[in-house]
Amino acid sequence: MSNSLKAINKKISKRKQVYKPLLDNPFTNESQVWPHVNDQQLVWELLQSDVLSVCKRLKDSDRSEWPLDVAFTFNEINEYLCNNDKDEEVLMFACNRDQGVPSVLLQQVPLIAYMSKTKVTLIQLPRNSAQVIVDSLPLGDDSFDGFLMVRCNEKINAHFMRTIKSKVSEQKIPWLTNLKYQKANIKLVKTTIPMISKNKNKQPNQKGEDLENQKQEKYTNTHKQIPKK
Amino acid sequence: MSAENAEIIATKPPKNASNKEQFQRINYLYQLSMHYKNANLDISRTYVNLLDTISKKTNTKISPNIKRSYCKKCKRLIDYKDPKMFKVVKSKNKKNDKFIINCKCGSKKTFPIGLNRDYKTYTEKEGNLLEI
Repeated sequence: MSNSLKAINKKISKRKQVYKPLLDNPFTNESQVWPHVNDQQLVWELLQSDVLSVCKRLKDSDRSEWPLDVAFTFNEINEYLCNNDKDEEVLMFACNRDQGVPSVLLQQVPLIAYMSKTKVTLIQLPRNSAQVIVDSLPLGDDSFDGFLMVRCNEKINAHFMRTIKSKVSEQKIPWLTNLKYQKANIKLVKTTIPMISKNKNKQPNQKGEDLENQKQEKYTNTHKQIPKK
Repeated sequence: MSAENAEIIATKPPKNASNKEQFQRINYLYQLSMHYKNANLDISRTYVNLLDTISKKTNTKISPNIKRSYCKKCKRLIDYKDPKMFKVVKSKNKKNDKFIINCKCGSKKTFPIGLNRDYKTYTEKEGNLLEI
């Protein structure tokens, strides 16, 4: 056998890299699902000063007494968006770049927001914003789902609402309204497979030998039991 | 180079995907089922059933993102307008938090989100999925 670098590498390596084709969702487009936010820092500062500071101050009091209508659990948000028939507007802040927010929830919320009769403005928040929100909300022992919904009614500051809306582009999910054929989105999954040596039959490993011995014993035992005619 | 990488023989990614016709077939069926989702539920379910069978018989892989969008039992596509469809079940122990997708047929998809809140499927992780 040659002593080339490739041959030595083959001897040492236990796994080989392979690329398997996979069909990705033709409708998934991150940039369309999550609308772009211009001047994200300003939006974050406005949220902190106008909403989170109020929530933090009234953390211990009853939520019905709050001067804002906010929802922060997934179930609450889902129920409101699906059941509300009124022509209302809401601001939905999402910590989609933070750690600790389950990706399964993040996949559903933009679609629920888009399909809702309520007009939802989806706003991405900068990284590490989830912890600040957790500190401001009365979550108790519950974990934070990564979303904060603020209802745009007379209770909220109109300037705050207008500024935030002007900074966020519109959410576009074309496949939910006018379905157009999309080309097959085939991608490759980068993965590895174990290397199987060709001389496996010649030099069986310990486990293989044990199995062979067991088979041999079984065979001899069964043949012993058969009475000779 | 790390020791983990040293044990893997690197190969170049192929320029074309094999079994392309089957992927295109599945893709077309998925989009048809989406199209008929509201108009005719039975046809939509039939298409999903067909694409699922084709992927199994031809050994073509579908991303978890697509597979999560329909019920495994009745092949119905997820209805985002139904408030009963999604539910987060929280318990005292945060590790037992669950996200449940309830189908109209009664079957449930349960995701134990509390176990690892940062969990991502292999294809969702950066660098594992390559464009052709």
